Amino acid sequence: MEPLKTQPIPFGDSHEFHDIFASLYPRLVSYARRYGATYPEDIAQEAFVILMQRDSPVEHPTAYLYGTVRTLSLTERRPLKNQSISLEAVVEPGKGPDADEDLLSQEVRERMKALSPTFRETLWLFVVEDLSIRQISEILDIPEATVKTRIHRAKAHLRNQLNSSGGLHVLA
Amino acid sequence: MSWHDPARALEPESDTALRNELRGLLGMSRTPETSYFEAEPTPELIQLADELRREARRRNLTARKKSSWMLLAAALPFALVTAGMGAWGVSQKHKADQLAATVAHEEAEIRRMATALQPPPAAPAAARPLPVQAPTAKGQPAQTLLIGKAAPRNKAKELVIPVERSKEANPNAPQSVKSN
Repeated sequence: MEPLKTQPIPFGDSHEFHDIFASLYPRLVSYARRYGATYPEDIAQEAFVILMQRDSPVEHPTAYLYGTVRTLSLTERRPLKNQSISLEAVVEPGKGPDADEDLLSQEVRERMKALSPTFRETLWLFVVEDLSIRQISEILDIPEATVKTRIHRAKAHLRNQLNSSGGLHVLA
Repeated sequence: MSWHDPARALEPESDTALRNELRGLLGMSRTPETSYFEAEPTPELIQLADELRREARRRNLTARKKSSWMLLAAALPFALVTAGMGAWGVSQKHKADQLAATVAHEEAEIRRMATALQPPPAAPAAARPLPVQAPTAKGQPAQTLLIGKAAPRNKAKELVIPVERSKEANPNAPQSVKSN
């Protein structure tokens, strides 16, 4: 794919914007659903509007969109936080597994579920959403080194998991 | 603004290798089925994208107008109150200055009148102490008592009052009571 041309606001030509929107919108809806958003489509659309509404351009628009969706989804669930909902419930809410069904097989979902919510979130963005470490650090608002640490720990957990079940030998 | 993300394009090979390794550990295919920016926009998605674009533009315009009007509306009462307080303060200062000038003038007038009505200073002889003849007891020379300010300064001239002790009325002497 050719690198996209740098365009000032408003967001390049219509064709480019339609292509980007078509590829990012379903991913953002799925990402919002993972956080248990009641109206994930609305949140994804709102994230696009907020990005296009900005006067100053952002360096990484994709990371900005993911970060906005994450914030809006958590804000939507904020009233429930007072009812002592754990991080597990927020990251893996009732509707969460449904969101993964279209993208991941049952086996992958089981392996992801065995990880802690913190590692799972980082691993999801890195592997499934195909985002770079720099983008993930912007989305989660943590240093890049922390992202790398989390990914490597998740990797170690997965290895242990496979060793205990003998899966690593099968892969090898 | 460009949608081209340099962070994704300039990703080091080690990160790509790590991603592929994790994909393998998770049991996913090593390469994603679809590229990140490859998707066919459907007519519904195109319509939605255009609507969102219009909404962003509309919000951008209305938000700017609203913010300036809101700023003006919020600042107006404060500006009026500040101006009113300033004018009132200036008038109060003017009044206070006038009152202070009047009071100073009246005080000067009173001082001038008091100076004019003051009696002339008394003669220096009046201040001199007058010798007073002290009452003398029988058989004693007359003592001179100095009255005035100079008297206590002159320690040599002390007031001496002669007292003749009567032998009959000695309070310390034992009294004898005659018994019948």
